[in-house]
Amino acid sequence: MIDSVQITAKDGKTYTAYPLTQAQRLMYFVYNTYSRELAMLNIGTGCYWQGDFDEALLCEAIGEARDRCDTMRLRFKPDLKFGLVQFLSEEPLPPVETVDLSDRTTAEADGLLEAETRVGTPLEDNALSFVKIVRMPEDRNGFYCKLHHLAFDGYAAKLFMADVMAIYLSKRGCGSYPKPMKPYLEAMTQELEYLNSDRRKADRAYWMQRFSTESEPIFNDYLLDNRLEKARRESGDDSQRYVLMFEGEHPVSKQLYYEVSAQDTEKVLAMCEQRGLSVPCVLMLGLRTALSSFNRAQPDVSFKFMINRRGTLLEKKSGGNRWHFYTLRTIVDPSLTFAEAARLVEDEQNEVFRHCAFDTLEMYHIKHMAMHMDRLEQTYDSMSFSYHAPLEIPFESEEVKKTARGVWYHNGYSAQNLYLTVKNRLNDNGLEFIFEYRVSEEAAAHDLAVFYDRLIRAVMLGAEDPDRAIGEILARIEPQEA
Amino acid sequence: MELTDVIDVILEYVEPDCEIDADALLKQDCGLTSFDTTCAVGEMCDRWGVDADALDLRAVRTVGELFDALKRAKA
Repeated sequence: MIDSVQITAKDGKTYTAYPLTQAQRLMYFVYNTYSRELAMLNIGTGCYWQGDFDEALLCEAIGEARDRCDTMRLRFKPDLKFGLVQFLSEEPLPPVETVDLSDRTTAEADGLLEAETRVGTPLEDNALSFVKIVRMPEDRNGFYCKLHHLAFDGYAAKLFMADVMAIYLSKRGCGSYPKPMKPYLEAMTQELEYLNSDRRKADRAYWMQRFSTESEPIFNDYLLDNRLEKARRESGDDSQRYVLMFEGEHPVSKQLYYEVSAQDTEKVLAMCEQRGLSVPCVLMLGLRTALSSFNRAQPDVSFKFMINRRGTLLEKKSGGNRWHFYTLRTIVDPSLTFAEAARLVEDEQNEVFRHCAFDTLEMYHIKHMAMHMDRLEQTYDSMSFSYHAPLEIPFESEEVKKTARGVWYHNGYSAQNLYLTVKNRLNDNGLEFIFEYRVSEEAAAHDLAVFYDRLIRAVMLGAEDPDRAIGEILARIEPQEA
Repeated sequence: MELTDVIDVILEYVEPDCEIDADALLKQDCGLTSFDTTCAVGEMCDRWGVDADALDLRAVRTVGELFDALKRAKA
């Protein structure tokens, strides 16, 4: 039995409304604590391609995909008992508009859509997610989605886009109609049922046990002017292992974008395939190696990683936001080979997976208690990482796919100091690294260029020879003395 | 616990293009991600009373190998 309340919505109807899930509460908490900018909750994304384009059919496809996606109708309302509650509104969705930007340059068109992504929508009982058909320059056409982070995460957004395209293609006679989506309320109910389950008690016991027996982690910085060393100088305590990193007040952020060529990406993927290694774990190994190299070859490295908790088909196909963030801590001896270290990262990742249904906020509370930390901003994790697993968006042909542009528009704000997202490009599957950093960190742009260089060199050195020792990779990615 | 039970659980997680049998590779043929595998194996252990800590999945690549590993851990 899960909690619910009856509410009367703007349309005059009475709805059953439910508390936020743990993932939604996390998102709402970081918005409230570190940003208070509504646009921070926007996801802006577009999918455009060249070639034959049937606007009427795409409009029909978007309409049907919206009808199949419950969270398009998800709304929120303040509630005295639960703070904020959610319900599926029966109010009709607005018609699908067309915007013609074909007389602009691509940069101008992207700028306009990014500006739209930076406009927040008040939460209370409003439609929060929108889709538009867009005619772009260079004979590209497609659609833009402005989705809400309490109703979608990156995976759900891409799932919706893939559904639009699959429906559109089936209407054009290129493929079968996609299988049905799954009901959001059923997945949400499972999430809320977990709160009173034995499984939650077992997960809680696991994190209590783990943090009470684990040694204290250590902060590893991505800035060259190391904040732990600075904190130690200020406190006079050379054994200090955490820093105070306040992430409130200045939520304005920028992005740094780096591309890996399709050929180099293929080298990484081929090595993973050949050695049975996980691609995200190899990327996380590259990340931890760069952090280690920025911190005097520190073997003990922690960062937060996003877990998109979508296992069952119900979880995969019901939309919503299921992101939890957990710390990935690994201690890698430099004598380990790249392949051995990647397996160590994978083992730790899988260990966290087993207990990641547990509330992120509560897990960090338990960790703070165990480490005798009494302030929210005390941390061992300098940054967060997420890998958006490839989710195929279908196109009419390989030729059309090569012309496709998938764009993620920056909403302008970030709830944390540094968030690295890695994705695969739509047209050639090459990797893209997007560093979203707060502009209040002046050194970030310069230092992140150095950081990325070390990260990607570590990954490529590992891909070239997975039996190469981590110690050798660390030596090779650091600047050589003259 | 039969092989078909293992396949039934896997089909709660993925919609593969091909038929799944004992020789199907968990990753390439079934399309299971690391997260899927962790959750599906946890579900199997809960359903059939298998001690997850006794389960060695290091060398497991196929559905049949997973079934054998579960049987060994249950024994």
